[in-house]
Amino acid sequence: MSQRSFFSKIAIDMFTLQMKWTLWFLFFVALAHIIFIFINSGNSMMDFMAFSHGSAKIYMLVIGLLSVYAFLTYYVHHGLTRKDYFIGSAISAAGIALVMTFAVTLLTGLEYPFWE
Amino acid sequence: MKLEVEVNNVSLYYNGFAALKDCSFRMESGKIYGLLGRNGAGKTSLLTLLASFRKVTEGFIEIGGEDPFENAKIMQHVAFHYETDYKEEWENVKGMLKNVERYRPYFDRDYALYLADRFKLPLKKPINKLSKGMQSALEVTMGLAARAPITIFDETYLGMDAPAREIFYQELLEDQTNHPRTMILSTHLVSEMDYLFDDVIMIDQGLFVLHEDYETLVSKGASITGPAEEADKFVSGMTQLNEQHLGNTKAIMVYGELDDARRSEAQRRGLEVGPISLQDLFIHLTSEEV
Repeated sequence: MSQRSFFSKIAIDMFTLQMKWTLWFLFFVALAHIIFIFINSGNSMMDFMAFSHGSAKIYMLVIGLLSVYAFLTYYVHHGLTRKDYFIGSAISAAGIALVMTFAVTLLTGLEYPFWE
Repeated sequence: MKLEVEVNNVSLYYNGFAALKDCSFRMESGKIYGLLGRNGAGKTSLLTLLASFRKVTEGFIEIGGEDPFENAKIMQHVAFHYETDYKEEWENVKGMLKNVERYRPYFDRDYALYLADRFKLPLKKPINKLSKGMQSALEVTMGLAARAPITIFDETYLGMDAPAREIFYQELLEDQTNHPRTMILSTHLVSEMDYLFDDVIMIDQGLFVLHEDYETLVSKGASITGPAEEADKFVSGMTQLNEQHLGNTKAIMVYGELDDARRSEAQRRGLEVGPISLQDLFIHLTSEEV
């Protein structure tokens, strides 16, 4: 009944939770972008990709820092190794970065027809 | 699954301060160990080493013949439960139990829910909204339901009220009978929990004091009960730990084994010889004067 390693479980669990945070983040950035467009009376200074670029980097930094406080102690408490945590959280972070890039690209693509 | 614990000449230093000095003992699987020591004796330090929260400075620990530190094969079977700070835990009780189930190979979900029900834990409530006692009950629930071959409770039960602690003791004994594992209970509620222990390990000021099975340990002392005068005469010259009066009757706790001759002498004097309480023995063995 012994499992050899747990990093895949950790990756899935962390990705699921961090993805929820990421959806909230994207929602608020998109909202800020829309408000920004309204303030500028329809003249967008930049597209969504450029708009969200800076804050997305900071967001990744913040969830990275939080991850140590929120997850490392928790996982060691429940009998998982630091190594499994490290690999699991790295996979999860890469997944989040990919999904975010894809989502932002998609939203930016949707934005363009409005300016035609 | 059986895992034996071996602690060999283990020392632990925090920036030069020695929390543990050269401790050695063995733990067999399937027993309940009481880890006793005064505040700051090094109980928690020792347990954090067993749970791989920390690295041993000197000496080594083996669990199931392997070094447990960063060893996934061993760490998943060692559950260390202590008074955890859940201020930031927004997960609800049910979600938490579900998460633990993913990481503990022997976790029993039905048993966890049964325990949660016995402790009256609200399953849907976020953990940081639970009272301190309820958080302790959750910790205990996770610890028992995980059925980890090595289960450690470090004063987890201090926050719980007396009825809840009683439920914990009952469940612990019952589940230990059905699913034997190595259970380590660290406490200073000695008088309340002594009947749970198969073996007792005592440490004091970072030093290993003794490892003895409960029965042998309590036979190292005796309580002498009877008429005050006779009792006083009988115990003169022995190490007295504690005495209680009730009218003309006196109960005196003494340290040191009584041989058969002494026992029959006590009987002749009309004194009753009983076992000593672990609490009195603990106080005696770890008090500053000794």
